[in-house]
Amino acid sequence: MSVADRLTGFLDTDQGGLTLAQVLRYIAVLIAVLFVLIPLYWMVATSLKDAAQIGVFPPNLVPDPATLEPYFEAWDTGPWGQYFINTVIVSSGATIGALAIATPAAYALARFDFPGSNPIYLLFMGLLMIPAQILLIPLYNLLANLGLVDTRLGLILVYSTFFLAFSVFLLHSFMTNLPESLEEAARIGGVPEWKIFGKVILPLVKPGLTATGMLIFVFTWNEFLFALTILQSEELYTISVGLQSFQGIHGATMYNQLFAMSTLATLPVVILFALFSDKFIEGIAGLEMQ
Amino acid sequence: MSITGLQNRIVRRLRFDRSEIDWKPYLYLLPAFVMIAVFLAYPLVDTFILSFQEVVTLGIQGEKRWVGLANYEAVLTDPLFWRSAKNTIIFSFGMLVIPLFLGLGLAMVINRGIKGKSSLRALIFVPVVVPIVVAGIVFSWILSPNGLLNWGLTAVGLIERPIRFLNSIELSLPSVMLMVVWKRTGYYMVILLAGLQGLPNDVYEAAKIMGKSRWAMFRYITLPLLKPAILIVVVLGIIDSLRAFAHVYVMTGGGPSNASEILSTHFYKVAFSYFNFGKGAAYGFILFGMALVLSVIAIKLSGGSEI
Repeated sequence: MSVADRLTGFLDTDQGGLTLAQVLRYIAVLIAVLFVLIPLYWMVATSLKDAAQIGVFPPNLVPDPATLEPYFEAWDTGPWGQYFINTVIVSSGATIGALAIATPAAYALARFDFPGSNPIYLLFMGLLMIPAQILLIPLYNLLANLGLVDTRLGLILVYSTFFLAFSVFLLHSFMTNLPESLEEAARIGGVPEWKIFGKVILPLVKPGLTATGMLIFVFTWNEFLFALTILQSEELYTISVGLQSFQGIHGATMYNQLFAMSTLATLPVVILFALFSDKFIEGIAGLEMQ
Repeated sequence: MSITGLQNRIVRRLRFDRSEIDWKPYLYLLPAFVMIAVFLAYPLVDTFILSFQEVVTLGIQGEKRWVGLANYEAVLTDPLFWRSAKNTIIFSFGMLVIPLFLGLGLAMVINRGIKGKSSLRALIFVPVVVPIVVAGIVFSWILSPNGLLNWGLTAVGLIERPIRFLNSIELSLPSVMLMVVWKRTGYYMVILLAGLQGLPNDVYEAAKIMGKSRWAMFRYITLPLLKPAILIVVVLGIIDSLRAFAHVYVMTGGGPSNASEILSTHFYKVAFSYFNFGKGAAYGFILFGMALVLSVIAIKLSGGSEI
């Protein structure tokens, strides 16, 4: 919120001035904003410091001098470019996989009345309640049998399944809200079923697909436990596993470099969020609409 | 269900001959069922079987032997399980209780006309999209002996010597919780804000005219109408308290001397560090049971059949 916005906010009240309640409200919001921003500022600030400024007490609140050197130094310590490529492949693959499977399923549950539709919907809800990590052992076992341990495809399949129920849940709410008439008209007009789904429903539900897809992309971008367990070769690491491994090796000594890479890891998802924040919020808020 | 929805349902029922099964919805569901069968149901059944077995020879693919309920007994008699369970309850205050209250407060403040509402909402949501590993590393650095927090506390004269937050038996778990509160508040705020925005304004107007106090309006109008949103937050919070892993793993690894061990990290150690797969499987089912039972209790207590 800009200073100008805030000023108009102060002036533009019905009493023509500030009430105590309003002052308290602004203070509460200000504290929340500071709480949110300080860790992020500190990450970026630390990433711009040279090694001599790391670990000094009291810390320099502003990097002096500020340098991009840690970014270049850290980049050379490992295959960071590869980590990013891996993360993009895995997150995109999982997003496409989950949406491709969840969309027809959500369509069936939202738009058809058939024996078993309610129990099946409840089943999807139940799947949401499984703490995923309890499946680590047998999934690892299964992937080993399929020759998919330590592959990006293995991780993509696991993510697609885990985000399936979540996607069905969200897309279901988007689809139930669509008007019934278009689909009915198409059906009466003798349009083939696959065309009704592909040419009528899909375009209508596009905002829902975007919102759900964004959320899956970000959640899988940030996922750690399964990436850590399934990917073992360094050249297949996702960015989160790469960061954790860097921290394990270099410990507290190279925090500027660690934060340089952390900043790079965070930037894509924050940019994505900044560009599509309405979609994200719509998706999350969609959870409430159930 | 709305009247039109019901009508549509009846019309659809009449249009199709009931004796002839409509296969279309099942076909649409087929890919999802295949994925769930292979990557969820099969592993779940496999874990269930494994939880009654002991892996005799080395490795997860090794020879197995039936041991009855011994694995469950081993988990439930493990003092570390109970310590982790206690820690998980404490941890759930960071994952659910504190961010729920903060998120509710912020949602109400932002909902009551503040300029720049949607950008504020987006800003407070940002921590949700920050990778959990990054959040863990950043908070570890802020909480380190020569970190930002110790500097701040020294500067205002609250402490004389730096506190080793992450190496302290008492403070390591609250330190992790601080990061979790940072990450969750915006999440819950957005869900609750969506609930608040759906509330009818004229009810408040009526209450105001009737001279009801703010507290009465909150207690008897806002809270009941927000119930579905709060229920979603509670269920999410319970499941994620049992699911959270990287939060603790990155910041403290469960230490010092298991002071910040939660069920999820302890489970991981049992299964993957000590390679006790049978006990790990039993542990997993106990976790699943907890998630299911607690979620159902939450839903029942709220008296809600809404979800």
